[in-house]
Amino acid sequence: MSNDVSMALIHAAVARLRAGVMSIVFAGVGATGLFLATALLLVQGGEDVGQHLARLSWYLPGYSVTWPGAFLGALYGLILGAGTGWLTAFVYNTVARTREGTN
Amino acid sequence: MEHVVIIGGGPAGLTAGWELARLGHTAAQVFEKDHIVGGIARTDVYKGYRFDIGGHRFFTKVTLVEEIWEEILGSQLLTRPRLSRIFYNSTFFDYPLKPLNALGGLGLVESARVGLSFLYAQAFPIRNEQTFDEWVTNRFGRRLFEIFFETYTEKVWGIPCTEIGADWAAQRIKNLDLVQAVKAALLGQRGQTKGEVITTLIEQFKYPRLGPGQMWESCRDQLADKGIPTHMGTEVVRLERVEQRIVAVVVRDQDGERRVEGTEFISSMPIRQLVAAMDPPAPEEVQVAAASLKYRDFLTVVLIVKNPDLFPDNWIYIHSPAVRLGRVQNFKNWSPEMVPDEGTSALGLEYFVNVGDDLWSMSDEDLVALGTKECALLGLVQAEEVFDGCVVRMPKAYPVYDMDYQATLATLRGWLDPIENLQLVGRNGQHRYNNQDHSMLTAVYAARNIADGGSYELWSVNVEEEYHEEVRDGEARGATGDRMLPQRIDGLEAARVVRDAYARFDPLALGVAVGLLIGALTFLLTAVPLARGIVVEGMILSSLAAYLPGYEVSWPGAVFGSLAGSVGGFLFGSALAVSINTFVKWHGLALLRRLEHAKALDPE
Repeated sequence: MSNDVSMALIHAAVARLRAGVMSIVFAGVGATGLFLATALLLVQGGEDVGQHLARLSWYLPGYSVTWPGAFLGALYGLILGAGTGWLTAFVYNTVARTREGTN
Repeated sequence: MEHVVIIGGGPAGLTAGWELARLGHTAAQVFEKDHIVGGIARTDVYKGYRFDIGGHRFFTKVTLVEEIWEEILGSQLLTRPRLSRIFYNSTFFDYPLKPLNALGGLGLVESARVGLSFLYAQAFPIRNEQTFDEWVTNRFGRRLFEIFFETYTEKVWGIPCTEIGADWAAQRIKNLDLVQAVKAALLGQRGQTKGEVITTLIEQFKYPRLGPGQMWESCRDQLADKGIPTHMGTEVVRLERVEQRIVAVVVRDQDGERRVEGTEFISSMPIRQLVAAMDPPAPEEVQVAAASLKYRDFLTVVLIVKNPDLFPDNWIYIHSPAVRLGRVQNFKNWSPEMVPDEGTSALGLEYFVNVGDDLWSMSDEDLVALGTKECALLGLVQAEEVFDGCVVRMPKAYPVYDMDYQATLATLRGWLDPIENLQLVGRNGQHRYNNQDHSMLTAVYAARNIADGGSYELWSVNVEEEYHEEVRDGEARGATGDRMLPQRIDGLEAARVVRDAYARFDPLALGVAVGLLIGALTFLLTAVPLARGIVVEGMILSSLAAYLPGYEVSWPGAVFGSLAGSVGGFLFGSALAVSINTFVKWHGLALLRRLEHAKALDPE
């Protein structure tokens, strides 16, 4: 069997996103990202620290550019990231499966 | 008259004798190496307690076999009600599974999980199902598979369900038709199509008053009366062959070895031993093939319990992964005369093992202690009620069909079939997972080939039909079915790894997923401050307009921005998928080139 044929056969399979893995990855990125974004501003210090980032409190009740806020933000990031990852995988898999079934 | 030598005093060997006698051909003798007849369908006795090696229901679709049972035992053959259930999580479930009973026993939360996983499996079945777990999950849902199929199957066969072929599941498990099941539960028999009423053999079965061994002990005794002796404790150690005929066997008993001549030979001994006993020896490739045949072994721990009424079942399937126990027989419920003392019960705890593994090698005392502990853990008995016990080990209980089995058997048959006066019968004689009735049928045909000059093809018995434990009204009795064994699928995991590693991402699907994500995010980012009345001139959000045409911090802007975000996200997701696919394809081709190169350097 030629390489092209072998590869074509393997490549005919459509990848699936594992919802659990996506949730964990997005949750990790969300939590770490939000914590670091807040923490870096706090470490740098200065006047009126994090005025733009503080507006996240519009979306995340209780969040502020403070150390407790950094941890609360990490929790929000964790939950929202997990949900986003799962939802992305779900939508992707549903569309891919539907298309595979109609091909 | 031909002198017939029958090797083995199990159901097949003794049935061959029975049929020969029925046809008036009594120049025959049976050699059984054990001191008890019946093979795996024997009944052992311990201090007056009788027990089977596994349970042996007497049911068949073959009228001929049913008639033989009636002839041998007559009124000693009882008709017994069957109750066998699954024991899981301290609850009994009907077997075969009934959906409403199963859901009722699982409780509300677990039932909801089962229901959701069933619906999910119906909506999104696994395509191209290859394995046992995939087959069952597609029909029952993942959760029901985990509860009712996974543990027990792995206990019995010692193979992970992810490595057992789906074809075995297709034969052994009837489809769950939820609509039919609900209809049957609500309407009873009226819910079924006229003429389709199942006269199930599942609900009752025939059973000898003193256990299956009684059938074969009686058969042996009646054969002796007719002039066909069964030599107990006599092992066939050699078969003398001259060209394509067997001329004699050498048997060994307590008095030593002796030679027995014959003109026809019927063998139910394991093919592995049969080939090894050939003199002159079989060709090397045949010996190698015979030696490669595999078997699954079995041991029964018998517990004598000071309790007259433990549970009403004949046997119970143990699905709990917490114990190694696979099945529990309650012999008193098979026939009340299996126990000598009405105030007691005898349980047979069945462990599926391989010769030499830890359970097989364990001492009898330790096995009885293990069995007592596991039964107590499950709540089936109180440990202090167990006052005695014993162990019976049964090697070669089940022939195993591995991936090479068919080729191996073809090699063996290629050499054995041309031997003109040798016929192979029975489960181990043919290395086939036959039920007792199928084994008997091969023996009947072998006897007729000798006494009647028939030309029955023993290997074609029961290969065509499906195997089901039920007979529908009007169905021809006589149809039989071969029982399959689970087969391990080699290389499946490797294939999956390759597929997962090199499968392409669907650009459209990833585009839709990312597009919806960005669109929803854009909308929410704008909608939340709008809804809360937090709108500030010069908001940083307004700068999104640079990327999302038509965007502004307003409700119409949120919608337009969301649409623009969706389109942008779609393009990004699709491009991402195409990029990944291209990279993976290059990587895969490079890998294949390296493999080809390596193969060219080292063709072996």
